[in-house]
Amino acid sequence: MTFSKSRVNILVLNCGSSSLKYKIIMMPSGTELVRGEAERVGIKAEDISVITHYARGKKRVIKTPLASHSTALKKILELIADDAGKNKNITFDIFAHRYVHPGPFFTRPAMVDKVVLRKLKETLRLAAIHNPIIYNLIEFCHNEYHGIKQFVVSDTAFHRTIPREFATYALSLKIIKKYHIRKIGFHGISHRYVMEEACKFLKKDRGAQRIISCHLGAGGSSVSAINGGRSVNNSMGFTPLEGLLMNTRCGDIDPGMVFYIMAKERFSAQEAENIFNNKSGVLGILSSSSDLRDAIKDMDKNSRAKMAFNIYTRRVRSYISFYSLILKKADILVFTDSLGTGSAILRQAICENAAFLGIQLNKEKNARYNGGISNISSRESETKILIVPTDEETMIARESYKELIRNVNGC
Amino acid sequence: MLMVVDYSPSDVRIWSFRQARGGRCPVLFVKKSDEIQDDKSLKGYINSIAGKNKIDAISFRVLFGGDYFAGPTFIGARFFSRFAKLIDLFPFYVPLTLEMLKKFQRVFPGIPLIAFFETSFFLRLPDEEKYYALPFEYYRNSKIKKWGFHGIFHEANAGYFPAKDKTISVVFDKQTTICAICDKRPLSISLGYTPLEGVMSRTACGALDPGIVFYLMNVHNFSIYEIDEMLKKESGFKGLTGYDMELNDMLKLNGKDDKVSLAFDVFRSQILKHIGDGISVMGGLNNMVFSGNCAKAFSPIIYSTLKKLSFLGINVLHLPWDSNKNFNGITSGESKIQAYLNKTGLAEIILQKSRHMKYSGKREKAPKA
Amino acid sequence: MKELIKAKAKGLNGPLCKFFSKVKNFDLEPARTAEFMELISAEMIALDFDKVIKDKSGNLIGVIKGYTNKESVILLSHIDIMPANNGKLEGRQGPRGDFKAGVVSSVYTGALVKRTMLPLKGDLIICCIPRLECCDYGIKYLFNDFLKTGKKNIKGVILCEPTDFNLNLGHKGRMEYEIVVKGRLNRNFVENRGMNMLGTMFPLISELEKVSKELPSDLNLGRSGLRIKDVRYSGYRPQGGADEFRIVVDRMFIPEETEGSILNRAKTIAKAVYKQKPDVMVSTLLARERVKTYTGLELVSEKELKPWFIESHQPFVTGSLKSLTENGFKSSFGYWKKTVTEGSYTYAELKIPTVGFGAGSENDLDYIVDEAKVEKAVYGQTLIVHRNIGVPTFGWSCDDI
Repeated sequence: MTFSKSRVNILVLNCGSSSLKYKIIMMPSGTELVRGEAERVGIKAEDISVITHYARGKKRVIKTPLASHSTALKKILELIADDAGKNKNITFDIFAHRYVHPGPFFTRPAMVDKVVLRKLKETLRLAAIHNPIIYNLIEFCHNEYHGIKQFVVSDTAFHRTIPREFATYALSLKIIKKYHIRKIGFHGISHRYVMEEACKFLKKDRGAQRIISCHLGAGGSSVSAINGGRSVNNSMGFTPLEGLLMNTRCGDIDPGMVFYIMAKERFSAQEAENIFNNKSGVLGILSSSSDLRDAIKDMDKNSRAKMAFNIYTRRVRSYISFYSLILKKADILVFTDSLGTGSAILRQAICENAAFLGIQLNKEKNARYNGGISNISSRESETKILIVPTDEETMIARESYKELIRNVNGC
Repeated sequence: MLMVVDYSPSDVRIWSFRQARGGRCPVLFVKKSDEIQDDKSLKGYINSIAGKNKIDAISFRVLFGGDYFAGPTFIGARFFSRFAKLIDLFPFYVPLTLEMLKKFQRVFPGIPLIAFFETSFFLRLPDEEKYYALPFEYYRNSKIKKWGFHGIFHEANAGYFPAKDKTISVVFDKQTTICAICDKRPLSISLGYTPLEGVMSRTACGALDPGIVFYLMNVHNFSIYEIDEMLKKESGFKGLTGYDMELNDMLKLNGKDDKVSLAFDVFRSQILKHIGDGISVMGGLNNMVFSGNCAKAFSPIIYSTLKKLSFLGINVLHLPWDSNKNFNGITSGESKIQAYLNKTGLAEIILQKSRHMKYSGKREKAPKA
Repeated sequence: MKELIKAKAKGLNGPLCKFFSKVKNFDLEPARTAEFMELISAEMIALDFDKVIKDKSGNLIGVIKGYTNKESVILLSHIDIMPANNGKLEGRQGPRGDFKAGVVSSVYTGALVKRTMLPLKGDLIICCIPRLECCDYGIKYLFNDFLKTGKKNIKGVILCEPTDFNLNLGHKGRMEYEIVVKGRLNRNFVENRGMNMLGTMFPLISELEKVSKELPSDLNLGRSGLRIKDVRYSGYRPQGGADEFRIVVDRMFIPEETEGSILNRAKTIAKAVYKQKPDVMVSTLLARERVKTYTGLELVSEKELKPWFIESHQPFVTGSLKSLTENGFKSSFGYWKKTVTEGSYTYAELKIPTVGFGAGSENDLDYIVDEAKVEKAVYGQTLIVHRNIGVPTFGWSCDDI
């Protein structure tokens, strides 16, 4: 099958543990035709699931029970079919999925067939929460919509270029080989997107740029070092637990202490994993909320909130500083995702005292930021500091389109 | 005369000092711990080291002092009752040390004994460095926080520079630790609680994604004891190379053997990470100082690390760095950031500090903590 | 931690070998029991045990103190005492002495734990219990006396018995009972007592033999067993007129059988044999033994030891096995087929988690327990103790400091 059309519409599906974001993007122009998000999917709660759907310049909110991600998809496809009745252009030709943790497989986008499905199935245990949800949805599409091609774009592929000296944990070779343990890195789609957009914005050739990208989300956060368009380091590791302080994850921690607490409190491995993944981080320190923005609001009155903020920014600064050493100073520092774009105070604290590494923020520009891509560095700053809202779906569409063209030309 | 004792479960290292040109020169005696188990053999051994000299005081390197000991402390009843409370935090070290110190006290009742702690210096770590981001109740129950390590070396290194200077101090010993110091106060330390964080050592892994631990436990059914054993005994240089040899010997293979080269690359990356961390908390850098028992042997690693930092304005001198001086610069005059190699040993540091303690007449000093 | 234990174990090799050979060569006649106990208690004192106590029933107790008083572990070994009037243990050519390795390993486990200075959450209590065949007065006395006053929270019991380095989780019960048959048995026979008696007893004996072939069996513990240990005739009393004989039965039994059901069944069998003889009285009863301990205590002990087995998923059990397999032992779970232990009291009665671990094998009489095997047992027992009540040290190893 070849695509004779000059343009391809891609329905991008981005699964979260209880959400499904989607977009139809026309490639190669990148025009967005439809976007929306299904929330509270598969949650057995009193709150009913909601789909917020934007198409043809209109917003629709549909409240309906959604027992699983596949029922959500069915409902979304109904909405799209409805729009298609009014505007013939709103159709899609292929599916594209974000896949969180494919382990050592899939260092670039893959078109789904039986072999790929089998390989994906082997990765379910790597991210016990996310992978099974996405896998089930891919399988569902594979069985229900035979005619439509599917692509999976991995969130880790971008980091495959991290060199050995940074990707290797000092474990025994036997263990490393047997369990494929290395730094894998995450948020690759987002880091790659903001890298491309930042270079476009500054009209620079990304091949010559040294970039530090901070994806500071309400859920996970990571920092990436990018040299000449290739990832050379990421603060997340074999799993998303390593690195920065996150809303409920502890980030870097001494495993000796993990054992100590497990023995002392008689935790099973599952209990401990739950605590370090879901009860630590900002939530652990603040205990009332897992959202750093709540800590920022409370900082003046609440010493714990202050502490959460201090530890958070300290860790981000530490990684920026480390990556500045690796890159021998960065040309561009990018902030993205909800916290990265949403909190001026946070950005200011992170950039404070970093002039030594060439990073100087313009406080006014930083405070005035309201949307879009913006340069917030001061005139004398060696490093350009940018805010770039991330758009993983567009990046997934770009990657899938590239793979599609490659496949077509290859045939 | 004064003696310095460094005690480990397997052997006891004792330094005495003889007069030499340019000061006193330490002489090292090593003995298996088991051979001086009973009071009589201990007494005989120590007296044989002292010879005809009168022992004025004996100073001990103690690895861990918890919250109780903010500085060197005379060993007496109050010391023992406090030290004994630390068993839970360092179970295999504290009881052994307690026993050994009691033995010394019994055998040499008239001689002042002084404890120097590797952790005292770090009681002044800032809060955001000291605490791990865990639910607070676990801190309350387990008292776990960053205790730090190599405080005796790091504190001594801090003493060479003006207070306002931003200094990174690196100690190469069985462990490698990196500490950022400003205003004579530590702002960060790479080894907080155990060698499973920070920089890798001969057999321990250093920084690790804690997710790996959970992955191996939950998916591959490792027990915590197995993983602990694997991380501390089968990892690090030994793990990455498969060679069970001393690091001094392994250094000779660096650049010749692929696995060894990778291990040292990883080692250097981990050091670099903590140097970066130090720079970020201090907001700059004036001096770097490399010390510890293995610092000289690690000169090639220090050199290549500093080379990587040349863009910061560090102009490192070519190897070899030959000098008779214990403390000598390894950067050129025009270097914006100065780096030093400090070969002063543990014994000399403790000797000097002991002199400041008025040990004539045995007495206890009230801890400041 | 492991290497610390190993290093300190090496230092104890010499004294262990010396002590083991002393114990091995000690000819334990009943009259020398006190002397033998003295030998062990002197060794405990020499090895710097925190407490060494001998209770009234003759148990020897050595204590290695924990740094808190949370959970204790008991290491049990036994000493086979031959009944003074008998001179020989039934069915054996004198005492095998296989208990000696258990005694030495338990004492040296205490010494090793003491030497490593690794802190324990509670005490390690090492008990050597003199034991007459099928009697458990010693262990009962221990729990009702020393351990009661101490108010110890006992996490588990390790039985230092031969398991060939496996972790044993139970065994069948063992009891001795007597079938007493009374009546004018000789009425229909020629006045030749010997012949008469044999003739009268034979049907019952042969019936018991038959029964012994149909006894139930347990998947783990094996088949129950029945052995006629003794036949006693106390008949022909001219004055009394009634004759009496007793068959003493040594019975191994599995948990689905109980003391009551076994005695009832024996009675039913005997009754069926003599149902033609209306004036024959049949009764069954549990055997008892009058015991005078070497310390002079006199008591009566019922000769019954209960069957027991502990579930393999019990935390004390899983922890103990893992402590072995993670450190080079190829241990698996096992059950004793012939041996009975104090587990009949500690687990079957008191429900304290109990496991067995030691050198030697109950199946192979020629199995020679040498010093190296005792050392291995000491290492294994120390690992088990540490896994269960030790304060673990994570992240640091001895070479690091």
